[in-house]
Amino acid sequence: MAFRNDLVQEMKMRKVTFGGANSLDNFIARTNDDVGWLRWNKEVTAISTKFWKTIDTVVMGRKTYEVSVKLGAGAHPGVKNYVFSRTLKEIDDKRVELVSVNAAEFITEVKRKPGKGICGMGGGLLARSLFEANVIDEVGFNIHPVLLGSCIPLFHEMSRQIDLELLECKRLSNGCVMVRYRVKKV
Amino acid sequence: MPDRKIIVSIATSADGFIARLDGSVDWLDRPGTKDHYGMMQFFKSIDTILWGRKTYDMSLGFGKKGGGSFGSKTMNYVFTHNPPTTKDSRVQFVNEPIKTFATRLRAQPGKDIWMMGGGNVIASFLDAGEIDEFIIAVIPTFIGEGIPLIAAKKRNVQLALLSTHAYEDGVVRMHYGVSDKL
Repeated sequence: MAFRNDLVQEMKMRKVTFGGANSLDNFIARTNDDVGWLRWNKEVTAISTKFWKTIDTVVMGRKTYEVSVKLGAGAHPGVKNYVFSRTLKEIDDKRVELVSVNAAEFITEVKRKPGKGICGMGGGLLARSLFEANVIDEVGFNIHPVLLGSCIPLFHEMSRQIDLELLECKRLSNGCVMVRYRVKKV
Repeated sequence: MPDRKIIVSIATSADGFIARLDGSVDWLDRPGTKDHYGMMQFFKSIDTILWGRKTYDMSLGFGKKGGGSFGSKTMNYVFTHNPPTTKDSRVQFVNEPIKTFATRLRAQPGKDIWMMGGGNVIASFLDAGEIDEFIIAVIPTFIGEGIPLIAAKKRNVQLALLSTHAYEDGVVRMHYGVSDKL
């Protein structure tokens, strides 16, 4: 039963999660901007620590990576780091693997290999191409009680509608609302 | 705190849009809940609706198909630079500074005031300091592109989360007060 085998394969595949902190009007925290509006407390730290234990791979676009480097962070420790770029020739950091092939196809291959979850950092063009290629399994937001009006939008505009299933909604003591959705595949 | 509150109550997609670029809201159509995500109760707390011109015109379109009627007791103010004439006593077209209008409206006795939107009129009222609360129902879908909740302009408006509710079908309703107005 080929269909059944596909289903089992799909269930075994590693989960790709995208998300981050956003304002109520859906602008994302980008580290090169003023992030004074971000709220951090023990609750958020605990959720974040728990999540990091479920992943072993981080994927990000070139711009997100460059911002991370500028801030002195660069690669994320303790996980495999993939940076996607068609323009960069090399990255002078052994902890990072530069990938110049199609991101959706590459990550789909990574998903088939054994391992823990895969986390997408930042939004931007990488997130859009992965959404459109059906590669993202879950999205999570920490909705902050603030309206920013302009900044960098969480996701670039996408060409089609993507339906979601609410998995979790948690009100935090600092006024944030954490929501987690499963992406319905087409 | 003013006696009559001006409250934005609206549904957005999970990517923060109130309508598609052509104004359509087909993605809002869903079986819904008994209390219409709290809208029935909210509607009892208001007696006045504020509209942007495009949103009002869209709603008249819905009315022809049997929807969009908000009852004979509700007063409607429509913001436009080109006020047309109307014989409907429940509709007034407004073309005056927001602060002047809002101050006069709040001074009249009555229930709370529903800011219907769209994004431009919400932005104008917000930047004039004339929005008290936001009630946002987040629909579990990314529509990809559309009209944002509030017209773009750099701002930093702090909110206070008053309540949140997750409905069985995945809609999340969040109720905020604008911090400066609390």
